[in-house]
Amino acid sequence: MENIFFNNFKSLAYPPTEDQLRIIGCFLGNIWILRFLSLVLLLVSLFFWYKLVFKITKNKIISFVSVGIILITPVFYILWLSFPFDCLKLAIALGLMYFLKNKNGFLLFGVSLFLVMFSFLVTSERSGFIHKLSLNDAKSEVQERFAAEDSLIDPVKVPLKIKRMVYNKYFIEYKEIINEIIPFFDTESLFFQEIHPLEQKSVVIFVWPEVFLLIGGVYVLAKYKNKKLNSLLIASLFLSLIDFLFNPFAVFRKFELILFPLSLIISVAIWQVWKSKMIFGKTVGGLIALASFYGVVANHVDLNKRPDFWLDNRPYFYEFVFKSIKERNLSDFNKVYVTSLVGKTENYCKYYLGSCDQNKFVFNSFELKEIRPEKKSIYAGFVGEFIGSDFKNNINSDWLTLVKDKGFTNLKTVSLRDTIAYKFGNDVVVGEVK
Amino acid sequence: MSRKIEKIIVGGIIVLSFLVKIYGLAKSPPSVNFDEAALGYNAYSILKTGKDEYGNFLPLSLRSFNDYKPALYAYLSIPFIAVMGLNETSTRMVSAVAGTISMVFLYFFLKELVKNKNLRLLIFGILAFEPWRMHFSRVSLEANLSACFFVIGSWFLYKNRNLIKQKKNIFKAILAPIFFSLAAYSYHGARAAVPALIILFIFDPLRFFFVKSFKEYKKWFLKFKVKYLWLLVFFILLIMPVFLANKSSQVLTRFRQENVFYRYFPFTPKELLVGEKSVWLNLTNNPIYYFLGIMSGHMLSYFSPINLGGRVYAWVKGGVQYIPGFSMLGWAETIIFVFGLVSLIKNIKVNFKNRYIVYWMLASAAPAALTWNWFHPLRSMNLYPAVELIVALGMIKIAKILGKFLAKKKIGNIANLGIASFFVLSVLFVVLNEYNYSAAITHGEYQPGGFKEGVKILAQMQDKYDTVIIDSPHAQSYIFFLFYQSMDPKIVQACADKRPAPGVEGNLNFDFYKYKFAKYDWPQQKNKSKILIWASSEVIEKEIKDTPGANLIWISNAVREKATAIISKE
Repeated sequence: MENIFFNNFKSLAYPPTEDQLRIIGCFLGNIWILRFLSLVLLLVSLFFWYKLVFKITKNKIISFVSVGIILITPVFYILWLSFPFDCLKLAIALGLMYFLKNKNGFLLFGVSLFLVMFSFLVTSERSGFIHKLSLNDAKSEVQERFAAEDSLIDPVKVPLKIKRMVYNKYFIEYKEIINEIIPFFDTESLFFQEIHPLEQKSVVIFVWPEVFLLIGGVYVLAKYKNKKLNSLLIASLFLSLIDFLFNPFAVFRKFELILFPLSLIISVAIWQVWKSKMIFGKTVGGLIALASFYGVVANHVDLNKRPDFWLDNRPYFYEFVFKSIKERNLSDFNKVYVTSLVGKTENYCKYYLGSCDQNKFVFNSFELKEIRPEKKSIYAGFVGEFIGSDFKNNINSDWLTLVKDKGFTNLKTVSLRDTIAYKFGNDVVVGEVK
Repeated sequence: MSRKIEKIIVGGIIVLSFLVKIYGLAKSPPSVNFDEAALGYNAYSILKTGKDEYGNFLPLSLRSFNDYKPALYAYLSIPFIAVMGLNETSTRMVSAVAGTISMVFLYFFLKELVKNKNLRLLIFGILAFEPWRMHFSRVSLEANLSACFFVIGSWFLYKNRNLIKQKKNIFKAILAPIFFSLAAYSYHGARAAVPALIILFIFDPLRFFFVKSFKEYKKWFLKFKVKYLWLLVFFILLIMPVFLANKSSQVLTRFRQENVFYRYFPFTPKELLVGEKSVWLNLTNNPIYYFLGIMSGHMLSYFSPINLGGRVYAWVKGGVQYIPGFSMLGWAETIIFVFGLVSLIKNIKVNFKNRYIVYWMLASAAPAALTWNWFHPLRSMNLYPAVELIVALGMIKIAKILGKFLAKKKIGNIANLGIASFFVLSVLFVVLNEYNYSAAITHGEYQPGGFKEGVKILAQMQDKYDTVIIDSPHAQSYIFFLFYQSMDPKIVQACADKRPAPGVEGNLNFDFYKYKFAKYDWPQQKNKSKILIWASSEVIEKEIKDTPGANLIWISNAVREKATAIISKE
């Protein structure tokens, strides 16, 4: 029964992420308790958003539709499925926005401060924006520009003093900072993730027909000025920008706060379509709204047919490795080598195996191309670690024979869709040497 | 400010912008690229013989690399080549002049949008030095010439719309289709963009959103718009010779190679398709949904701030359309563009100007959107003046907000000075970036090094030798040997029958004069006498030095790297 369910909803079988493993211990090690609580937190954030919008618009349709749009978007689903800290952040941020709604300056300052602090507390990773603040990148670029121009045999002559006016770390710093801000206006990632030209790893935030509703919503809001509503939108867009700049994670997580203001603009458009007497506008708007709904369904189907296309492949890697190790009798082996090429492995080890003897488990990348593997050992890693890496990630297609030739038996292998350890191939191998 | 002072300032900005565009034109980009060399040499060939490199008499399309380039750019280059000789500067001058003339019409549009003279001049000063204007005006590009005519045509279409309808002044009324046809004679893209713009202009489809019934729209259309239809007919008549002079299949060669329908079919990711008989019957992930998404994405990518202001796609990088450090707009202007979009949308119902800008954008993006690339600056160059107008709308909006704020704080003058200084520095950065940094970064594959430096040396030596062997990895490198030594066109035309047939792609090099395209093979070639070799493959210096009568000259590219070797054997 469970298998039939997970075959149709493959994304629900997505293994725990590193974020979840950090706190899963507090929830009896049960991923579904944690997911349930994450969902509750997101629903709390939606509740605050509904209250906030309704208080300003006094319009139940707009408020409900705005919340509904967020509720059905694939990114909402993935957030509660995999990212509990993001759910917590959204609940607190929306709560703060609700309680500080009448104090404009304090709202912006308070929530911004919270978002910045949260990004520092929840991870040791730092966003590109924070790195840029140090001026180091600006200094390097100045040097790089001068070096490039000096390499020309016959350059266009420009006095050095004039060059220095803009080829200096302060002006380049302005360039670096604004180049961190411009991606906030990335319509491809926000609306065209299904057919993204860069095929970047992300989750659908809004489906493409919704971009037309957004344009309609902007028209309605700009035309029929509602000062309070516009203030809310501007404030929440500003806070989305702050979150975007300080958030170091994948693009759909950087954009998670913008779900709220954009859904509100879209819901205003839908409401306008609903009450419009313009026959063409109403027809086209209605068709776009229907297409949007179709798009959301199509994307949920897609997400459940090929979750490994949309989601980070590292949890799949860990699940496969530790489940393969668990099937073996560990007392028969002196050492278990598990690669650390894709991140911290210890937490996953504890989650899947209960405990990991520090004398037995070695969490490090290994290189067996030139040496024989140790006897009475288990090795788990990427194929490149067994037979040698390749600069262009082109691993010998006959790798299985090569691995067997090294004396490995009881081999378990899986091929990942994504390249998560470049140079080492996409195939994962767990094997033992008796 | 009096009108006279305004004219002087505008004239000053235009002259300054022209001077900046032509300063160092021979050095940056460091050498001509394949298409520049082809345009320049065909212009030279027509100047000397009245025929292109294939011997076609006064052609409307240049067969060139079997890509049938529109020929107008080459014709307009003839006066410059006649005066200055065949070189980088003379070949690029048409583009620089076109980029400058289009600014005049940009200013006319700005006059329609910005009522405050000071603000208008500031905006014009900033837009005159946008990265795309600087970059594309310094390279021979048919698309840039086409964009110039397209702006002029757009201006006359917009400005004379009442004359066109009433046919009051027939001379003024026909200016729009005439300039539009020149755009079409300059670049393929305009052949689709112009009809699209005229159709959008006539039908004004955005207006349709704001009428209560089809009857109302029909009444309005028949009363006001139907009279414009002659524009479209007149334009088609004007460009008919292009299609009559060449087989339409040849003119559409590029489209066949690049169209979106072929590349993305079946549009839905294959793993999501259920059943193999008809992909169109898929219920949950229907190809129509994905196809419409791709088309919408292609069109809207030209409205996307990140594309206009920062993101560089793989197919852009390494090509002539790549501007290192930028996309098309300056950084601040990209953010301002967002404000402009809001302002544009806000007044879309009441203001025909705003709808016209949208139609301009859509019509210009349409030809590019039909190709497989998501965002392709070169194929959509007609639209960037419209993008600039949206930036101008954004600047008006910001000026209003800042004006209110600064008036309260009484720091208006200091702030204005600060803003002006900031934009002066930004303009300076754009110019410097284009002069040398861009030249250093973009030299290479599409404008290969060594030819500019080496062909002249080769030309001085070749009289004393019987054969010149050319070993080059580039499929069309022959053109550099024609361009950089202003080869007598009659020699080239005499070889027309031996050259690859129309439609052939890939290696288009051909043997002419003493030139033979072959692989460098020193062990064999060292036994021959009176031979000169242009070798781009790896040359072992010692082997040459050890051969009696052999000599070697290293030729470097623009950044002091060894690009090629000229080996002579007596």
